[in-house]
Amino acid sequence: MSQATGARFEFHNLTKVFGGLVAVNDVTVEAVAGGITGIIGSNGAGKSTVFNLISGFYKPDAGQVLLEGQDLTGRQPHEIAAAGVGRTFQNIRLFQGMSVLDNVRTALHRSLDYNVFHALLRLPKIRSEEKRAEEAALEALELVGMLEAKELTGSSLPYGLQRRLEIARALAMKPKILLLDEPAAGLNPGEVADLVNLIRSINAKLGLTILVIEHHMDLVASLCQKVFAMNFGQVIAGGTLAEVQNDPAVLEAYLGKGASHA
Amino acid sequence: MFWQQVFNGLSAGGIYALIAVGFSLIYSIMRYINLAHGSLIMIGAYIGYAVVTATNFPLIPALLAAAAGTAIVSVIVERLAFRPIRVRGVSTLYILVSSMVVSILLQNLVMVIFGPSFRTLPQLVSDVPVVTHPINIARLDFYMMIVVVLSLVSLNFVLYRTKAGRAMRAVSFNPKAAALMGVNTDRVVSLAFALAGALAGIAGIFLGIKYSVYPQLGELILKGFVASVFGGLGSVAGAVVGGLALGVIEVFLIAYGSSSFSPVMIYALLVLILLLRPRGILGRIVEDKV
Repeated sequence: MSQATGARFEFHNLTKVFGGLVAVNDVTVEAVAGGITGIIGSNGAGKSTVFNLISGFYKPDAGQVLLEGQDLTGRQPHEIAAAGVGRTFQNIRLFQGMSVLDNVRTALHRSLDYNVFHALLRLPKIRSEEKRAEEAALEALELVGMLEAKELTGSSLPYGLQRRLEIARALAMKPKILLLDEPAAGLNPGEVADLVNLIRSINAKLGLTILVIEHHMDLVASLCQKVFAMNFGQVIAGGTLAEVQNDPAVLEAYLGKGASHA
Repeated sequence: MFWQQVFNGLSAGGIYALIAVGFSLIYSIMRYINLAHGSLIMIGAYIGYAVVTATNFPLIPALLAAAAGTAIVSVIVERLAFRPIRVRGVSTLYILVSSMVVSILLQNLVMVIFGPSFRTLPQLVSDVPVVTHPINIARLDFYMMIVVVLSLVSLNFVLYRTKAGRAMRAVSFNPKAAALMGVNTDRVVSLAFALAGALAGIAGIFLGIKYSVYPQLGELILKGFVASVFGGLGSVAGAVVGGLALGVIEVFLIAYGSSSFSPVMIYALLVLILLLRPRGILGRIVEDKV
Protein backbone atom coordinates (compact mmCIF):
# COMPACT_ATOMS: atom_id res chain seq x y z
CA MET A 1 0.00 0.00 0.00
CA SER A 2 2.89 2.36 0.65
CA GLN A 3 4.32 4.53 -2.03
CA ALA A 4 8.03 5.08 -2.49
CA THR A 5 7.73 8.85 -2.65
CA GLY A 6 4.73 11.06 -2.11
CA ALA A 7 2.99 12.64 -5.08
CA ARG A 8 3.89 16.13 -6.25
CA PHE A 9 0.95 18.44 -5.92
CA GLU A 10 0.73 22.12 -6.65
CA PHE A 11 -1.69 24.76 -7.82
CA HIS A 12 -0.77 28.00 -9.52
CA ASN A 13 -2.48 31.37 -9.59
CA LEU A 14 -5.89 29.98 -8.59
CA THR A 15 -8.56 32.67 -8.74
CA LYS A 16 -12.26 32.52 -8.03
CA VAL A 17 -14.67 35.43 -8.14
CA PHE A 18 -18.20 35.23 -6.72
CA GLY A 19 -20.17 38.18 -8.04
CA GLY A 20 -17.97 41.13 -7.13
CA LEU A 21 -16.08 39.28 -4.39
CA VAL A 22 -12.66 37.87 -5.16
CA ALA A 23 -12.80 34.85 -2.83
CA VAL A 24 -9.51 33.38 -3.99
CA ASN A 25 -6.97 35.68 -5.57
CA ASP A 26 -3.97 34.38 -7.46
CA VAL A 27 -3.15 31.66 -4.94
CA THR A 28 -0.09 29.50 -5.57
CA VAL A 29 0.81 26.63 -3.26
CA GLU A 30 3.31 23.85 -3.71
CA ALA A 31 2.73 20.97 -1.30
CA VAL A 32 5.62 19.11 0.27
CA ALA A 33 5.77 15.81 -1.66
CA GLY A 34 5.21 13.01 0.83
CA GLY A 35 4.91 15.54 3.64
CA ILE A 36 2.23 17.57 5.36
CA THR A 37 1.51 21.12 4.23
CA GLY A 38 -0.77 23.47 6.14
CA ILE A 39 -2.97 26.33 5.02
CA ILE A 40 -3.91 28.69 7.82
CA GLY A 41 -5.95 31.85 7.95
CA SER A 42 -8.98 33.35 9.60
CA ASN A 43 -12.58 32.50 8.68
CA GLY A 44 -13.46 33.78 5.25
CA ALA A 45 -9.84 33.91 4.12
CA GLY A 46 -10.75 31.59 1.24
CA LYS A 47 -9.19 28.36 2.49
CA SER A 48 -12.20 26.10 1.96
CA THR A 49 -12.86 27.75 -1.38
CA VAL A 50 -9.36 26.66 -2.41
CA PHE A 51 -10.23 23.06 -1.53
CA ASN A 52 -13.52 23.32 -3.39
CA LEU A 53 -11.63 24.60 -6.43
CA ILE A 54 -9.17 21.70 -6.20
CA SER A 55 -11.86 19.05 -5.83
CA GLY A 56 -13.97 20.44 -8.64
CA PHE A 57 -17.03 21.76 -6.79
CA TYR A 58 -16.17 25.20 -8.11
CA LYS A 59 -14.57 25.94 -11.44
CA PRO A 60 -11.61 28.31 -11.11
CA ASP A 61 -11.77 31.56 -13.07
CA ALA A 62 -8.03 31.34 -13.55
CA GLY A 63 -5.13 29.14 -12.53
CA GLN A 64 -4.09 25.56 -12.73
CA VAL A 65 -4.22 22.50 -10.46
CA LEU A 66 -1.45 19.97 -11.07
CA LEU A 67 -1.12 16.48 -9.59
CA GLU A 68 2.15 14.84 -10.61
CA GLY A 69 2.19 17.28 -13.50
CA GLN A 70 -1.28 16.16 -14.64
CA ASP A 71 -3.65 19.08 -15.15
CA LEU A 72 -6.87 18.61 -13.14
CA THR A 73 -8.22 22.12 -13.59
CA GLY A 74 -11.95 22.38 -14.18
CA ARG A 75 -12.73 18.66 -14.21
CA GLN A 76 -15.78 17.06 -12.58
CA PRO A 77 -15.49 16.13 -8.87
CA HIS A 78 -15.75 12.40 -9.54
CA GLU A 79 -13.00 12.61 -12.16
CA ILE A 80 -10.74 14.54 -9.82
CA ALA A 81 -11.39 11.97 -7.10
CA ALA A 82 -10.55 9.20 -9.56
CA ALA A 83 -7.32 10.97 -10.49
CA GLY A 84 -6.17 10.58 -6.88
CA VAL A 85 -7.44 13.50 -4.83
CA GLY A 86 -9.08 12.38 -1.58
CA ARG A 87 -10.64 14.84 0.82
CA THR A 88 -12.61 15.31 4.01
CA PHE A 89 -15.02 18.12 4.84
CA GLN A 90 -15.06 20.73 7.56
CA ASN A 91 -18.65 19.80 8.40
CA ILE A 92 -18.56 16.03 8.22
CA ARG A 93 -20.34 14.60 5.20
CA LEU A 94 -20.91 10.94 5.87
CA PHE A 95 -23.57 8.78 4.32
CA GLN A 96 -25.41 8.98 7.62
CA GLY A 97 -27.84 6.11 7.29
CA MET A 98 -25.34 3.66 5.89
CA SER A 99 -23.08 1.34 7.87
CA VAL A 100 -19.46 2.24 8.52
CA LEU A 101 -18.40 -0.53 6.16
CA ASP A 102 -20.75 0.64 3.40
CA ASN A 103 -19.53 4.20 3.83
CA VAL A 104 -16.01 3.05 3.07
CA ARG A 105 -17.07 0.62 0.36
CA THR A 106 -18.68 3.48 -1.53
CA ALA A 107 -15.21 4.93 -1.91
CA LEU A 108 -14.22 1.85 -3.89
CA HIS A 109 -16.91 2.56 -6.47
CA ARG A 110 -14.43 3.34 -9.21
CA SER A 111 -12.15 0.42 -8.58
CA LEU A 112 -14.88 -2.22 -8.74
CA ASP A 113 -14.76 -3.89 -12.08
CA TYR A 114 -18.37 -4.61 -12.89
CA ASN A 115 -21.28 -2.63 -14.27
CA VAL A 116 -25.02 -2.81 -14.29
CA PHE A 117 -25.04 -5.44 -17.04
CA HIS A 118 -22.78 -7.69 -15.02
CA ALA A 119 -25.19 -7.12 -12.20
CA LEU A 120 -27.90 -8.64 -14.35
CA LEU A 121 -25.94 -11.43 -15.93
CA ARG A 122 -22.78 -12.39 -14.09
CA LEU A 123 -23.44 -12.82 -10.43
CA PRO A 124 -20.16 -14.60 -9.48
CA LYS A 125 -18.18 -11.66 -10.82
CA ILE A 126 -20.07 -9.30 -8.54
CA ARG A 127 -19.52 -11.54 -5.57
CA SER A 128 -15.77 -11.69 -6.08
CA GLU A 129 -15.49 -7.95 -6.74
CA GLU A 130 -17.63 -7.12 -3.71
CA LYS A 131 -15.46 -9.42 -1.62
CA ARG A 132 -12.41 -7.50 -2.79
CA ALA A 133 -14.16 -4.22 -1.93
CA GLU A 134 -14.93 -5.47 1.53
CA GLU A 135 -11.30 -6.45 2.11
CA ALA A 136 -10.03 -3.10 0.88
CA ALA A 137 -12.61 -1.31 3.04
CA LEU A 138 -11.57 -3.30 6.10
CA GLU A 139 -7.95 -2.44 5.37
CA ALA A 140 -8.81 1.27 5.36
CA LEU A 141 -10.81 0.92 8.58
CA GLU A 142 -7.90 -0.86 10.22
CA LEU A 143 -5.62 2.00 9.22
CA VAL A 144 -7.75 4.41 11.28
CA GLY A 145 -8.40 1.85 14.03
CA MET A 146 -12.12 1.48 13.42
CA LEU A 147 -12.44 -2.20 12.57
CA GLU A 148 -14.69 -3.02 15.50
CA ALA A 149 -17.17 -0.27 14.51
CA LYS A 150 -17.76 -1.60 11.00
CA GLU A 151 -21.39 -2.62 11.49
CA LEU A 152 -22.51 0.61 13.19
CA THR A 153 -24.46 3.27 11.34
CA GLY A 154 -22.55 6.42 10.41
CA SER A 155 -24.91 8.72 12.29
CA SER A 156 -24.61 6.72 15.54
CA LEU A 157 -20.87 7.38 15.89
CA PRO A 158 -19.42 10.01 18.20
CA TYR A 159 -18.00 13.03 16.41
CA GLY A 160 -14.36 11.98 16.70
CA LEU A 161 -15.08 8.62 15.08
CA GLN A 162 -17.16 10.23 12.33
CA ARG A 163 -14.08 12.27 11.49
CA ARG A 164 -11.96 9.13 11.46
CA LEU A 165 -14.49 7.38 9.26
CA GLU A 166 -14.34 10.26 6.81
CA ILE A 167 -10.57 9.86 6.68
CA ALA A 168 -10.88 6.08 6.22
CA ARG A 169 -13.32 6.67 3.39
CA ALA A 170 -10.92 9.04 1.67
CA LEU A 171 -8.03 6.59 2.15
CA ALA A 172 -9.97 3.68 0.71
CA MET A 173 -9.77 5.39 -2.68
CA LYS A 174 -5.98 5.02 -2.46
CA PRO A 175 -5.54 8.71 -3.17
CA LYS A 176 -2.25 10.23 -4.22
CA ILE A 177 -2.94 13.28 -2.07
CA LEU A 178 -5.26 13.85 0.84
CA LEU A 179 -6.98 17.16 1.58
CA LEU A 180 -8.13 17.58 5.18
CA ASP A 181 -10.49 20.51 5.73
CA GLU A 182 -10.27 21.56 9.40
CA PRO A 183 -9.98 18.00 10.72
CA ALA A 184 -9.82 19.16 14.34
CA ALA A 185 -13.00 21.27 14.15
CA GLY A 186 -15.41 20.28 16.91
CA LEU A 187 -13.05 17.80 18.56
CA ASN A 188 -12.06 17.88 22.23
CA PRO A 189 -8.35 18.13 23.18
CA GLY A 190 -8.00 14.36 23.67
CA GLU A 191 -9.54 13.69 20.27
CA VAL A 192 -7.26 16.29 18.69
CA ALA A 193 -4.20 14.50 20.11
CA ASP A 194 -5.47 11.19 18.71
CA LEU A 195 -6.10 12.84 15.39
CA VAL A 196 -2.56 14.25 15.24
CA ASN A 197 -1.17 10.77 15.84
CA LEU A 198 -3.47 9.30 13.23
CA ILE A 199 -2.52 11.82 10.55
CA ARG A 200 1.14 11.40 11.33
CA SER A 201 0.95 7.60 11.16
CA ILE A 202 -0.98 7.69 7.87
CA ASN A 203 1.59 10.06 6.45
CA ALA A 204 4.45 7.84 7.62
CA LYS A 205 2.90 4.51 6.60
CA LEU A 206 1.63 5.55 3.20
CA GLY A 207 4.07 8.30 2.33
CA LEU A 208 0.97 10.25 1.36
CA THR A 209 1.15 13.93 0.44
CA ILE A 210 -1.27 15.70 2.79
CA LEU A 211 -2.66 19.21 2.61
CA VAL A 212 -4.47 20.42 5.71
CA ILE A 213 -6.56 23.51 6.45
CA GLU A 214 -6.60 24.25 10.13
CA HIS A 215 -7.24 26.85 12.80
CA HIS A 216 -5.81 24.68 15.49
CA MET A 217 -2.21 25.91 15.81
CA ASP A 218 -1.06 22.96 17.96
CA LEU A 219 -2.07 20.60 15.19
CA VAL A 220 -0.36 22.69 12.53
CA ALA A 221 2.77 23.04 14.68
CA SER A 222 3.10 19.33 15.32
CA LEU A 223 2.30 18.15 11.80
CA CYS A 224 3.15 20.63 9.07
CA GLN A 225 6.57 20.96 7.49
CA LYS A 226 5.43 23.93 5.48
CA VAL A 227 2.67 26.45 6.08
CA PHE A 228 0.89 28.99 3.90
CA ALA A 229 -1.07 31.82 5.49
CA MET A 230 -4.08 33.23 3.67
CA ASN A 231 -5.91 36.49 4.20
CA PHE A 232 -8.72 37.98 2.08
CA GLY A 233 -8.27 35.33 -0.58
CA GLN A 234 -4.54 35.77 -0.97
CA VAL A 235 -1.49 33.91 0.24
CA ILE A 236 0.37 36.44 2.37
CA ALA A 237 3.22 34.25 3.58
CA GLY A 238 4.71 30.78 3.14
CA GLY A 239 7.45 28.79 4.86
CA THR A 240 7.92 26.98 8.16
CA LEU A 241 5.36 27.77 10.84
CA ALA A 242 7.91 29.88 12.74
CA GLU A 243 8.73 31.88 9.62
CA VAL A 244 5.09 32.43 8.82
CA GLN A 245 4.18 33.39 12.38
CA ASN A 246 6.87 36.04 12.38
CA ASP A 247 6.09 37.35 8.93
CA PRO A 248 5.18 41.06 9.11
CA ALA A 249 2.22 40.59 6.77
CA VAL A 250 0.82 37.82 8.97
CA LEU A 251 1.31 39.82 12.14
CA GLU A 252 -0.41 42.74 10.54
CA ALA A 253 -3.33 40.60 9.38
CA TYR A 254 -3.82 39.04 12.79
CA LEU A 255 -2.88 41.80 15.17
CA GLY A 256 -3.37 44.96 13.16
CA LYS A 257 -1.05 47.52 11.69
CA GLY A 258 1.90 48.40 13.84
CA ALA A 259 2.08 45.03 15.51
CA SER A 260 5.17 44.07 13.54
CA HIS A 261 7.06 47.04 14.93
CA ALA A 262 6.14 46.26 18.49
CA MET B 1 -64.52 -14.76 1.15
CA PHE B 2 -62.22 -12.98 3.57
CA TRP B 3 -59.04 -14.51 2.14
CA GLN B 4 -60.29 -13.96 -1.36
CA GLN B 5 -60.51 -10.25 -0.58
CA VAL B 6 -57.08 -10.26 0.98
CA PHE B 7 -55.70 -11.82 -2.18
CA ASN B 8 -57.50 -9.34 -4.42
CA GLY B 9 -56.20 -6.53 -2.27
CA LEU B 10 -52.62 -7.74 -2.41
CA SER B 11 -52.88 -8.18 -6.15
CA ALA B 12 -54.04 -4.59 -6.67
CA GLY B 13 -51.64 -3.41 -3.98
CA GLY B 14 -48.69 -4.99 -5.75
CA ILE B 15 -49.19 -2.63 -8.68
CA TYR B 16 -49.57 0.34 -6.32
CA ALA B 17 -46.34 -0.79 -4.71
CA LEU B 18 -44.51 -0.75 -8.06
CA ILE B 19 -45.78 2.77 -8.71
CA ALA B 20 -44.98 3.98 -5.21
CA VAL B 21 -41.52 2.41 -5.15
CA GLY B 22 -40.46 4.15 -8.36
CA PHE B 23 -41.85 7.41 -7.14
CA SER B 24 -40.18 7.03 -3.73
CA LEU B 25 -36.87 6.03 -5.27
CA ILE B 26 -36.68 9.32 -7.11
CA TYR B 27 -37.81 11.26 -4.07
CA SER B 28 -35.30 9.62 -1.76
CA ILE B 29 -32.37 10.28 -4.08
CA MET B 30 -33.32 13.62 -5.57
CA ARG B 31 -35.54 15.10 -2.87
CA TYR B 32 -38.03 16.26 -5.43
CA ILE B 33 -41.39 14.98 -6.47
CA ASN B 34 -41.72 13.78 -10.02
CA LEU B 35 -45.29 14.48 -11.07
CA ALA B 36 -44.52 13.00 -14.49
CA HIS B 37 -44.26 9.56 -12.93
CA GLY B 38 -47.95 8.95 -13.67
CA SER B 39 -47.47 9.73 -17.32
CA LEU B 40 -44.66 7.20 -17.42
CA ILE B 41 -47.14 4.55 -16.28
CA MET B 42 -49.43 5.59 -19.11
CA ILE B 43 -46.51 5.53 -21.57
CA GLY B 44 -45.69 1.99 -20.40
CA ALA B 45 -49.25 0.90 -21.09
CA TYR B 46 -49.15 2.41 -24.58
CA ILE B 47 -45.76 0.91 -25.38
CA GLY B 48 -47.15 -2.45 -24.30
CA TYR B 49 -50.25 -1.88 -26.39
CA ALA B 50 -48.27 -0.83 -29.47
CA VAL B 51 -45.81 -3.71 -29.18
CA VAL B 52 -48.49 -6.34 -28.66
CA THR B 53 -50.77 -5.13 -31.47
CA ALA B 54 -47.87 -4.76 -33.88
CA THR B 55 -45.99 -7.98 -33.13
CA ASN B 56 -48.33 -10.27 -31.23
CA PHE B 57 -45.66 -10.71 -28.57
CA PRO B 58 -46.68 -12.83 -25.61
CA LEU B 59 -46.74 -11.39 -22.09
CA ILE B 60 -43.09 -11.60 -21.11
CA PRO B 61 -41.50 -9.93 -24.16
CA ALA B 62 -44.26 -7.32 -24.02
CA LEU B 63 -43.43 -6.65 -20.36
CA LEU B 64 -39.74 -6.33 -21.13
CA ALA B 65 -40.47 -3.98 -24.03
CA ALA B 66 -42.72 -1.80 -21.87
CA ALA B 67 -40.17 -1.74 -19.05
CA ALA B 68 -37.25 -0.92 -21.34
CA GLY B 69 -39.18 1.65 -23.38
CA THR B 70 -40.50 3.45 -20.31
CA ALA B 71 -37.05 3.38 -18.69
CA ILE B 72 -35.65 5.15 -21.76
CA VAL B 73 -38.44 7.75 -21.76
CA SER B 74 -37.86 8.30 -18.04
CA VAL B 75 -34.13 8.90 -18.54
CA ILE B 76 -34.80 11.28 -21.43
CA VAL B 77 -37.32 13.24 -19.35
CA GLU B 78 -34.77 13.65 -16.57
CA ARG B 79 -32.06 14.74 -19.02
CA LEU B 80 -34.19 17.30 -20.82
CA ALA B 81 -36.58 18.58 -18.18
CA PHE B 82 -34.97 18.11 -14.75
CA ARG B 83 -31.19 18.02 -15.11
CA PRO B 84 -30.77 21.52 -16.54
CA ILE B 85 -32.70 22.87 -13.55
CA ARG B 86 -30.86 20.70 -11.05
CA VAL B 87 -27.34 21.65 -12.17
CA ARG B 88 -28.23 25.31 -11.82
CA GLY B 89 -28.92 24.56 -8.17
CA VAL B 90 -32.18 26.52 -8.02
CA SER B 91 -35.24 25.62 -5.94
CA THR B 92 -36.74 22.18 -6.52
CA LEU B 93 -40.06 23.96 -6.96
CA TYR B 94 -39.01 24.60 -10.56
CA ILE B 95 -38.51 20.88 -11.03
CA LEU B 96 -41.98 20.24 -9.63
CA VAL B 97 -43.46 22.64 -12.17
CA SER B 98 -41.33 21.17 -14.93
CA SER B 99 -42.50 17.66 -14.06
CA MET B 100 -46.11 18.81 -14.18
CA VAL B 101 -45.54 20.27 -17.61
CA VAL B 102 -43.85 17.08 -18.81
CA SER B 103 -46.81 15.10 -17.52
CA ILE B 104 -49.30 17.18 -19.51
CA LEU B 105 -47.03 17.14 -22.53
CA LEU B 106 -46.71 13.34 -22.57
CA GLN B 107 -50.44 12.95 -22.11
CA ASN B 108 -51.18 15.21 -25.05
CA LEU B 109 -48.50 13.63 -27.16
CA VAL B 110 -50.11 10.24 -26.68
CA MET B 111 -53.52 11.78 -27.39
CA VAL B 112 -52.18 13.07 -30.72
CA ILE B 113 -50.61 9.75 -31.69
CA PHE B 114 -53.24 7.28 -30.45
CA GLY B 115 -56.34 9.43 -30.04
CA PRO B 116 -58.35 9.94 -26.88
CA SER B 117 -60.28 6.66 -27.03
CA PHE B 118 -59.97 3.72 -24.65
CA ARG B 119 -58.10 0.79 -26.12
CA THR B 120 -57.91 -2.78 -24.96
CA LEU B 121 -54.91 -5.00 -25.18
CA PRO B 122 -55.44 -8.36 -26.89
CA GLN B 123 -55.83 -11.12 -24.36
CA LEU B 124 -52.31 -12.05 -23.26
CA VAL B 125 -53.20 -14.32 -20.39
CA SER B 126 -55.77 -17.10 -20.45
CA ASP B 127 -58.96 -16.79 -18.43
CA VAL B 128 -58.48 -20.16 -16.76
CA PRO B 129 -57.75 -19.58 -13.07
CA VAL B 130 -54.64 -21.09 -11.52
CA VAL B 131 -56.68 -22.56 -8.68
CA THR B 132 -60.31 -22.15 -7.67
CA HIS B 133 -60.15 -23.61 -4.21
CA PRO B 134 -59.92 -22.44 -1.41
CA ILE B 135 -59.78 -19.10 -3.21
CA ASN B 136 -60.01 -18.20 -6.84
CA ILE B 137 -56.67 -17.08 -8.22
CA ALA B 138 -56.97 -15.57 -11.68
CA ARG B 139 -54.04 -16.32 -13.95
CA LEU B 140 -53.38 -12.64 -14.65
CA ASP B 141 -53.30 -11.80 -10.94
CA PHE B 142 -51.02 -14.75 -10.34
CA TYR B 143 -48.53 -13.67 -13.02
CA MET B 144 -48.81 -10.10 -11.88
CA MET B 145 -47.84 -11.02 -8.35
CA ILE B 146 -44.88 -13.05 -9.54
CA VAL B 147 -43.66 -10.14 -11.66
CA VAL B 148 -44.15 -7.67 -8.81
CA VAL B 149 -42.20 -9.86 -6.41
CA LEU B 150 -39.44 -10.45 -8.96
CA SER B 151 -39.19 -6.72 -9.72
CA LEU B 152 -39.01 -5.76 -6.06
CA VAL B 153 -36.48 -8.48 -5.26
CA SER B 154 -34.30 -7.37 -8.19
CA LEU B 155 -34.56 -3.76 -7.11
CA ASN B 156 -33.58 -4.73 -3.59
CA PHE B 157 -30.62 -6.68 -4.96
CA VAL B 158 -29.45 -3.72 -7.02
CA LEU B 159 -29.87 -1.26 -4.13
CA TYR B 160 -28.24 -3.33 -1.39
CA ARG B 161 -25.88 -5.75 -3.11
CA THR B 162 -24.25 -3.83 -5.93
CA LYS B 163 -21.97 -0.85 -6.20
CA ALA B 164 -24.54 1.00 -8.30
CA GLY B 165 -27.06 0.61 -5.48
CA ARG B 166 -24.54 1.67 -2.90
CA ALA B 167 -23.73 4.69 -5.02
CA MET B 168 -27.45 5.51 -5.24
CA ARG B 169 -27.85 5.29 -1.49
CA ALA B 170 -24.70 7.37 -1.03
CA VAL B 171 -26.04 10.05 -3.38
CA SER B 172 -29.32 10.04 -1.46
CA PHE B 173 -27.45 10.83 1.76
CA ASN B 174 -24.87 13.23 0.39
CA PRO B 175 -24.37 13.90 -3.30
CA LYS B 176 -21.22 15.97 -2.82
CA ALA B 177 -19.43 13.39 -0.73
CA ALA B 178 -20.53 10.69 -3.16
CA ALA B 179 -18.99 12.63 -6.05
CA LEU B 180 -15.83 12.87 -4.04
CA MET B 181 -15.76 9.12 -3.68
CA GLY B 182 -15.57 8.90 -7.45
CA VAL B 183 -19.29 8.39 -7.97
CA ASN B 184 -20.58 9.97 -11.16
CA THR B 185 -23.75 11.45 -9.69
CA ASP B 186 -25.30 12.26 -13.07
CA ARG B 187 -25.04 8.62 -14.05
CA VAL B 188 -26.50 7.51 -10.72
CA VAL B 189 -29.45 9.83 -11.27
CA SER B 190 -29.99 8.42 -14.76
CA LEU B 191 -29.91 4.91 -13.38
CA ALA B 192 -32.47 5.79 -10.70
CA PHE B 193 -34.76 7.24 -13.36
CA ALA B 194 -34.27 4.17 -15.53
CA LEU B 195 -35.23 1.88 -12.65
CA ALA B 196 -38.22 4.00 -11.67
CA GLY B 197 -39.26 4.14 -15.32
CA ALA B 198 -38.98 0.38 -15.75
CA LEU B 199 -41.18 -0.20 -12.69
CA ALA B 200 -43.68 2.34 -14.01
CA GLY B 201 -43.68 0.56 -17.38
CA ILE B 202 -44.42 -2.79 -15.76
CA ALA B 203 -47.19 -1.26 -13.66
CA GLY B 204 -48.54 0.43 -16.79
CA ILE B 205 -48.83 -2.65 -18.94
CA PHE B 206 -50.58 -4.58 -16.16
CA LEU B 207 -53.00 -1.73 -15.55
CA GLY B 208 -53.56 -1.64 -19.31
CA ILE B 209 -54.36 -5.35 -19.37
CA LYS B 210 -56.58 -5.23 -16.28
CA TYR B 211 -58.50 -2.11 -17.16
CA SER B 212 -57.79 -0.49 -20.49
CA VAL B 213 -55.32 1.84 -22.12
CA TYR B 214 -56.25 5.52 -22.23
CA PRO B 215 -54.37 8.83 -22.04
CA GLN B 216 -55.52 9.58 -18.48
CA LEU B 217 -54.31 6.26 -17.13
CA GLY B 218 -51.49 8.15 -15.42
CA GLU B 219 -53.96 9.61 -12.96
CA LEU B 220 -53.59 6.36 -11.07
CA ILE B 221 -50.33 7.91 -9.81
CA LEU B 222 -52.53 9.36 -7.08
CA LYS B 223 -52.70 5.85 -5.64
CA GLY B 224 -48.93 5.75 -5.79
CA PHE B 225 -48.72 9.06 -3.90
CA VAL B 226 -51.08 7.80 -1.24
CA ALA B 227 -49.20 4.50 -0.95
CA SER B 228 -45.84 6.19 -0.59
CA VAL B 229 -47.17 8.58 2.06
CA PHE B 230 -48.75 5.63 3.89
CA GLY B 231 -45.45 3.84 3.91
CA GLY B 232 -43.29 6.88 4.48
CA LEU B 233 -42.20 9.14 1.66
CA GLY B 234 -38.70 8.36 0.52
CA SER B 235 -38.58 4.90 2.02
CA VAL B 236 -38.52 2.19 -0.61
CA ALA B 237 -39.55 -0.55 1.83
CA GLY B 238 -42.26 1.75 3.11
CA ALA B 239 -43.58 2.20 -0.41
CA VAL B 240 -44.02 -1.55 -0.75
CA VAL B 241 -45.81 -1.83 2.58
CA GLY B 242 -47.91 1.26 1.79
CA GLY B 243 -48.86 -0.07 -1.66
CA LEU B 244 -49.96 -3.46 -0.35
CA ALA B 245 -51.80 -1.89 2.58
CA LEU B 246 -53.60 0.51 0.26
CA GLY B 247 -54.66 -2.32 -2.05
CA VAL B 248 -56.07 -4.40 0.79
CA ILE B 249 -57.83 -1.47 2.48
CA GLU B 250 -59.36 -0.42 -0.81
CA VAL B 251 -60.68 -3.89 -1.64
CA PHE B 252 -62.16 -4.28 1.84
CA LEU B 253 -63.82 -0.89 1.67
CA ILE B 254 -65.40 -1.87 -1.62
CA ALA B 255 -66.36 -5.39 -0.52
CA TYR B 256 -67.81 -4.48 2.85
CA GLY B 257 -68.69 -0.84 2.29
CA SER B 258 -69.45 0.75 -1.02
CA SER B 259 -67.35 1.41 -4.08
CA SER B 260 -68.38 5.04 -4.26
CA PHE B 261 -67.47 5.59 -0.65
CA SER B 262 -64.08 3.91 -0.86
CA PRO B 263 -62.09 6.84 -2.33
CA VAL B 264 -63.54 9.16 0.32
CA MET B 265 -62.35 6.80 3.04
CA ILE B 266 -58.92 6.38 1.43
CA TYR B 267 -58.28 10.10 1.29
CA ALA B 268 -59.69 10.61 4.76
CA LEU B 269 -57.24 7.98 5.95
CA LEU B 270 -54.45 9.81 4.12
CA VAL B 271 -55.29 13.04 5.92
CA LEU B 272 -55.40 11.16 9.21
CA ILE B 273 -51.96 9.65 8.62
CA LEU B 274 -50.54 13.03 7.67
CA LEU B 275 -51.90 14.45 10.92
CA LEU B 276 -50.92 11.62 13.25
CA ARG B 277 -47.83 10.09 11.71
CA PRO B 278 -46.53 12.25 8.89
CA ARG B 279 -43.48 10.09 8.34
CA GLY B 280 -45.68 7.11 7.49
CA ILE B 281 -45.26 3.51 8.53
CA LEU B 282 -41.56 3.09 7.79
CA GLY B 283 -40.42 6.58 6.87
CA ARG B 284 -37.31 8.11 8.29
CA ILE B 285 -37.28 11.65 9.50
CA VAL B 286 -35.14 13.59 7.14
CA GLU B 287 -32.87 16.04 8.83
CA ASP B 288 -31.06 18.54 6.71
CA LYS B 289 -27.67 19.71 7.74
CA VAL B 290 -26.20 22.91 6.44
